[in-house]
Amino acid sequence: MPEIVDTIVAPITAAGQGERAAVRLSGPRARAIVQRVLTCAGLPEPGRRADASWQLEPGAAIPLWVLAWRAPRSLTGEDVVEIHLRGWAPLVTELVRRLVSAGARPAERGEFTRRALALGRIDLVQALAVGRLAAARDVEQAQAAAGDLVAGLETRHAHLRDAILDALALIEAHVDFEEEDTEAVTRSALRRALERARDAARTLLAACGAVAPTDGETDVALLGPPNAGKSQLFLALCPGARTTVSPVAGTTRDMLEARVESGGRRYRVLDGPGVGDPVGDGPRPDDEGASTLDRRAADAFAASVPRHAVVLLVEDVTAPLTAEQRARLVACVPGRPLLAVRNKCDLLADGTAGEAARNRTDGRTPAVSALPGDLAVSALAGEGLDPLWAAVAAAAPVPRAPDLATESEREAVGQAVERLSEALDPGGDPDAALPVVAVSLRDALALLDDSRAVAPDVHDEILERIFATFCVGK
Amino acid sequence: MVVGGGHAGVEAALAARRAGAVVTLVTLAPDAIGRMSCNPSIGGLAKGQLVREIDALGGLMGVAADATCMQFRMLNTRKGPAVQSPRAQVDREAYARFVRTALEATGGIELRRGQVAAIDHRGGRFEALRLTDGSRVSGDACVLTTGTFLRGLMHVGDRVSAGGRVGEAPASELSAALVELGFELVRLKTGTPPRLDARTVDLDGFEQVLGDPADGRFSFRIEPAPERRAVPSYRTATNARVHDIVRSNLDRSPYGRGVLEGTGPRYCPSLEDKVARFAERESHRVFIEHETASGPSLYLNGLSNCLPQDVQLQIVHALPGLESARMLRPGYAVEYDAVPAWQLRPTLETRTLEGLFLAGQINGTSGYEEAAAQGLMAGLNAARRAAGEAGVVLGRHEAYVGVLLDDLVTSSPREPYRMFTSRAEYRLLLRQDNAHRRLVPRARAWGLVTSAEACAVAELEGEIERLGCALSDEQRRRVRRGEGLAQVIGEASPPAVRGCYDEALQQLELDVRYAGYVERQARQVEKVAALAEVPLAEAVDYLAMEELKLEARQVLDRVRPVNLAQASRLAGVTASDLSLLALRSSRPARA
Repeated sequence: MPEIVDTIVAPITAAGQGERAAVRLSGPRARAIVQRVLTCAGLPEPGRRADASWQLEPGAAIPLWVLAWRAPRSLTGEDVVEIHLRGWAPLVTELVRRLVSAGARPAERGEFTRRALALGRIDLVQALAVGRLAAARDVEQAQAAAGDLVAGLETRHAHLRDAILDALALIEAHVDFEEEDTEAVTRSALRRALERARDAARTLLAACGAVAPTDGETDVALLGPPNAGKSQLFLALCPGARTTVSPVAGTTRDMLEARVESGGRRYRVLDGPGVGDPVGDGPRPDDEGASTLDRRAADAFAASVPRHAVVLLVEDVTAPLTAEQRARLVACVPGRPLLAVRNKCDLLADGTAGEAARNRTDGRTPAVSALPGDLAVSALAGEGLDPLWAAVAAAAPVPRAPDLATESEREAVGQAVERLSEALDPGGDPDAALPVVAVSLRDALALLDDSRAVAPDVHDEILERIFATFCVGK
Repeated sequence: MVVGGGHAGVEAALAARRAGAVVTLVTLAPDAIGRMSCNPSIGGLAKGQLVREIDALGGLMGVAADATCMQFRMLNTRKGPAVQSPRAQVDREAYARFVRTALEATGGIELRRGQVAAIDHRGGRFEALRLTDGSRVSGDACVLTTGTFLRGLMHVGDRVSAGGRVGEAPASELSAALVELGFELVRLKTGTPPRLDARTVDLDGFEQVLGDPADGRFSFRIEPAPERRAVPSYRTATNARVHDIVRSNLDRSPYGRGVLEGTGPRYCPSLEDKVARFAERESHRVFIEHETASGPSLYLNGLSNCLPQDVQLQIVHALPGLESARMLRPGYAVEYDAVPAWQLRPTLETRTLEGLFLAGQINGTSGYEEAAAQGLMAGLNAARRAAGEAGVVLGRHEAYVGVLLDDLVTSSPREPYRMFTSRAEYRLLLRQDNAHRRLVPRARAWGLVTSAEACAVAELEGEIERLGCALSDEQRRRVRRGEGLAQVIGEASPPAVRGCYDEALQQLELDVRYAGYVERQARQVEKVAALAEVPLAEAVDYLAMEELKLEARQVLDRVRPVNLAQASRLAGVTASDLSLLALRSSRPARA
């Protein structure tokens, strides 16, 4: 029954986390679909891994690995193929999108598990445990991945459905109760209802577009007093970026930016001039004018830090900031997630910094006034960078979840907009066209309702509205 | 074997006979065969389509209505061919006579007076009926069409009497027998308005409603054109005084007092309902219709109620022109037992007992046409069961009859089920004008129509095809834009078969005009057809299918769809549930 049982697809690694990501397909056409999208010599035997490549665009082939299992000896009991690739969210999203256009259906939450249960590959206790884990992850995701966007989509979806049903009820009351009391159905009332539906569909389509996964890049901004070693840290974070590091405080006067990947996510790291009084005893320009210039640059920098950026408050561990200095710096970037980074910990004589740098959960050193979660690093020695990235990843808003509106949902809404426009202009005599207008509306509704055949409950919903509005009957 | 002689019972007996069975029709009252309990009309919106389909399937209703028609109208003529419906006012006495005569004229149908007391069965198979007089009638299959008679209870004001229709006793023992067999019953209700004596009413004072001047008819068969008597109906409306009387007496109506257990239809509200629920309305329409061409009885369409008799009389007298009318009988409400049809297979055979079929109002429907359509399909399938042949069904894309049966067995209506065109998702395909094209070939294969009737339709198809082949793309475009086909082709394609040329033109015009939409609908049909290919076993333990969502498990457990297409239409069953079901059905059950 290849036409009946869908082949489902979904990323099986969390978006934006981990070096590698994997996408799984399960279903009768899993193997065929993968072979349509990827270039590979053949699918490997179970337990083996095959190299394959994916032509992202002409001249740009992405190398990947493929693993495959045959039904019924697989996780779900069906044919299963997994594709492993770099854990870069936009790439994963695009791969899923292509697999969907090759015939797979985006899996619902927990659908792999449900299939495994259906085919007897796991038992209920196991399934429930997976379900609990998934639910916990869902909550986390929903919170991080802009829950309001999801809710907004659902509201708009409901609003559109409502508008279509209203228009249908007007038509059906007119068509099914000719001699009854439906004179209230005027052409203009119907037109208004149809326009409301079309506008609601356009709004929904726009909303789907708005939550479309974009590049998923996270901004990281370095903030700190001059000579705290920000540029050094910048270089350590973004190997290969070009900047001048000088022991002279205030060397960095322009905004620098560099792009880097870490832990499967992409970052744009921003470095600007030092803000506030220089610390340490290095030489510094000591005239009023330069200082004013500094402050202006700092203001400009603060203003240019994007609203969702993670701000790294960098200080020199050998010259700790006072509480007042810290407060002033923090005030420059209100509302952004903030991480305190104590740089130059290699200079600490007792070696505690090195140890602290290896332990990101306990980065605090009692000797220094600390923000919760202070991180000790040595940009120069390259120590403590991994914990720093992990903390950044945890503090950053997760890039927008790619499954808020799948490609197929967007496509369905797009087609619904077409049907609704068609309903507004069916051509010919408006009364005689009512039945075909109803077809367009029902098509739009079916597209919204999971492209299933029009269900009787839709008929009931329409009749429900008619009975609530009109006194019909003999 | 058929129990009941109403619209369902009659069609069941005739269809079973045509399909080759020898039939015994058991009825409480042979005189009441084919009786119209409520309004004196056949057809109407969506119901007219059903009558055409019944006719195309070899049924009697269309022919009987044509023969006894007092007035014929095509409704919805302005709203496009897909939703036009024929309706006829018929002489209810002549109609019942016509039906009785037709039944008696058909050899192989025995009429038998009697009341069923019990149903005998063995090994899950129907065996025989036991009647209250002690006799036993055995057969291979049986269709029950008990209408409103199962524990029927009639209400007029606070007077309650047992019966399914005025002056006719109820069938109570059969109700108990069904419960004993394990059927779940529900209580439904319906109502009928008062009848007036035409001799006490000055009908000249009312606005007249006449039928279409053109000669319309239900039946596609070449019969002598029915002699149509132009009997008018009359139009009036309720007024503030009527509403006042209803309001001040609501506490005397079983509706107002809430003593009726049954659920009534919202599309056919009682006068009490209209006044109470739509308080802002100052007036509701009333049609006065002759019940027979020459008799005195008038039907007050729109005044269905069960207020006490004296209040009903006050209401009638409050209507201008009816001040001195004599009431022949008051309106009343009737409550009855119905068997929710999810207990049936799509062939209308019960899941409980092989060979036992239910049809008509017992399945929770309302209306003569809905009853007749079920009777026909149940009778056909009962005959096939008796002959050891497989059951047959019509798809939702093939006929309103298919929509009706599918809706019935997959949903649990909260009110008596009436057909609406909006229930048919393939409405553009299911037109009243093409019922014979859709169904006669099927009916021929099932033995329901004669070869001459099938040939006539084949001839029409040939002519349509010939004309269609000659059409250019440009001509098709012009037709789609709304030009008439006759005008578009002009003299280019003269008729090959004179008899059906005009009809072929008209059919082709609609085929071309709706082609784009129909094609889209056809794709949906295909998709659903693929799902319908996957059968679901009847004995599946859905509640134990942990991989399905709870809501899906519960609805599947109750409805027990026969295939994936039916499952897909259930509220609460999602696309992923469907896949899981398909997976399951492809794999032997777990221990």
